[in-house]
Amino acid sequence: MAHEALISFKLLLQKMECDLGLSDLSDVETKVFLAISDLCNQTETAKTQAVLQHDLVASIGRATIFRTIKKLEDCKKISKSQHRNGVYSIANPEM
Amino acid sequence: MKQQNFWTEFFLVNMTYLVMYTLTLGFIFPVQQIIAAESLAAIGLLFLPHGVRAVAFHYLGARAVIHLLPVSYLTWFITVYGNDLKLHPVGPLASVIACYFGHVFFNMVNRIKSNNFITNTWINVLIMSGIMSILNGVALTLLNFDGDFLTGVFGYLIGDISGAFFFMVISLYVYRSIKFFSTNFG
Repeated sequence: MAHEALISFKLLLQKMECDLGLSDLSDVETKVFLAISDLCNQTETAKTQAVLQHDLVASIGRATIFRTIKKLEDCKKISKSQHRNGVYSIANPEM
Repeated sequence: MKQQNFWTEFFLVNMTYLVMYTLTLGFIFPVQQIIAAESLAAIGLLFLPHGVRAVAFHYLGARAVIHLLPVSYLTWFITVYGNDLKLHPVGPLASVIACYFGHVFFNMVNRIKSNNFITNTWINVLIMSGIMSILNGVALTLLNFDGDFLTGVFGYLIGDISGAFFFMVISLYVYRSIKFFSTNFG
C-alpha cells in the first residue's frame, strides 16, 4: 500500500509538472541541451561534432542527437550560427 | 508484509511532517513574526505540514490519523516547551480529527457527484486541503486563538491552503531534482 501511494503521488506530481508547464523537455532533449550548454560555457559556441562526442550524450544515437538538435532549434532553446554551419549557441543564456 | 508497509508509511508521513514543520517553525514563522501583526502569533500564514496532512489523507485515508497523531504531538511539545507558544493540548488531536472529517466530507461529495471531481490531481488534493482547513481552522481558533473568531478561521485557512500548495511545489521540485540527477549523473 505504501508503494501504491508513492506511485500515485509520483503520477500526481507528473501531472502537476505538466499543468505548470515545467515538463517541456524530454530526458534526451535535456541531455543534448545540457551538452550544448556545457560546450557553450567553454567555447561560447557548440559544434555539432563536439556535441556528438560529449559525455552526456554518449549513450544516445547520432540520428537521435541530430533530430534533437533540430527540435531544440525549432523550440528556440538554441540558435544556429549565421556565419558557420553546424555551430550552435544557447538562445537565451539567462534561462 | 502488511506490518512492514504500515511502518514504511508511518516513517514517511512522520519524517515529511517533521521536516516541513522544522522548515515552518525555523524559517517561515520567524519571518512571519517580523512582518505580520503580533495578534497572529499563534497562526502560521504558511503552514507547510498541512500539505503533508492533505496528501496523507488523500492516499492513506483513515490510516493517516494513526500516522499523523504522534508527530502532531511531538511538534506540539516542541512548540509549547521550546518556543514558548501557548497551544491547547487537545489542539493536535482536534486538528487531525478535523482533517479526517474534511477528507470524509470531500469523498462523500465526490461520490455523490455522478462525474467525479478530477481524480488524482494536485487540484483535487488542494480542494480537499481547503475543506480540511475550514474544519481545522474552526477547531484551532476555538482552542488557541483569543481574537476575533472569523479572523482566526480565515488566518488558519490562508495558512493551511498556502502551506498545502507550497508543500506540493516543494515536492514537485524534490521530484524534479531526483529525476534530473538520476538521468544525468546517475
